[in-house]
Amino acid sequence: MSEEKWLAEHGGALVKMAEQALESRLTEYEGTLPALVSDIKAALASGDRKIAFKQAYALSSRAGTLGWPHISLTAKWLRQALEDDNAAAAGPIPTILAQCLELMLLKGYKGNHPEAQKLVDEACVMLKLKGYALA
Amino acid sequence: MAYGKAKGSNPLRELNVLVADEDAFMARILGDILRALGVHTISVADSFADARMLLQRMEVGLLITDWVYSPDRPGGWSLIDEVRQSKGRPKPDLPIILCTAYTELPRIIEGRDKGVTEIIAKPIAPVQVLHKITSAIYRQRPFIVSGGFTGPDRRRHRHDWASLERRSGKMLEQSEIDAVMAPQRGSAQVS
Repeated sequence: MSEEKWLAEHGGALVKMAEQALESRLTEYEGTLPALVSDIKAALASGDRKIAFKQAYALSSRAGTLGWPHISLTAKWLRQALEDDNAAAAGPIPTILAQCLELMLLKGYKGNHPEAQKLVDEACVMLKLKGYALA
Repeated sequence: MAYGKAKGSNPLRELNVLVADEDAFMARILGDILRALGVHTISVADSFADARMLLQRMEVGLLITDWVYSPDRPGGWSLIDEVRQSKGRPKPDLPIILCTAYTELPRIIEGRDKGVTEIIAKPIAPVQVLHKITSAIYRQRPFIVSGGFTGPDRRRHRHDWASLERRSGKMLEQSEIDAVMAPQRGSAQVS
């Protein structure tokens, strides 16, 4: 039997095991998100855009993996606001988005929490008013 | 490459994978997924320097990497460039899976044109990891070294570029990334 055929035949069971492994890790990793937001806030306060960008990227992908789309999306906007092309025009937006993220985590807005959706909607309006093309 | 020495055993057992991600969290998650899929030998690097060292010292069969850049070389010299432009070890034709949250079309095209074998969009889904490993290792495309490009054959299916162009600057879904990455059926063998 070829390798590809073997994997096609047994892949479903392997994926199921991998999903279980992922699931058991996620709870452990939830606790790492507040520290990332703290790092972002501290970096923004000290003007270290590079660290803020790096941590926003990490937060976006971790939250996405955890299945927290609103935090992931807001962190992604923050990352985009910190990109070189946008930095000059961003003004207070990164700080506001960081506060928005902090609030979501403090309030425990996990998953598709409706209050998180409201915050995202408000942030979206703010970014659009600033002329950002949102992805 | 010889896999599955024992007939009927998981071929991924024989695979030696290096995971490179500056976010240790994501690297561990990928490691967990790979282990559950049956990969026995997994190394993890959270910096360009560590990854380069491991690539030079070990016989790596697959690199799964985010955009990991060299802090010492200007111009965005990534781990992907390091492999594809290598003159010795690692071998330049090492299969590379780019695992990234930067899924805007220009970044996907950049990855493809730097010669990545497959791309996985973060957040990671185990099923995608298995699909991309299967494709990168067991459905290898002809490897091209020509005219400034080093990597698997980029020839593509015909697809709706116009709709993808409209999404330029937007994040692409995994299926759209696959459309950019998919090789054309029946492409000629190029040595």
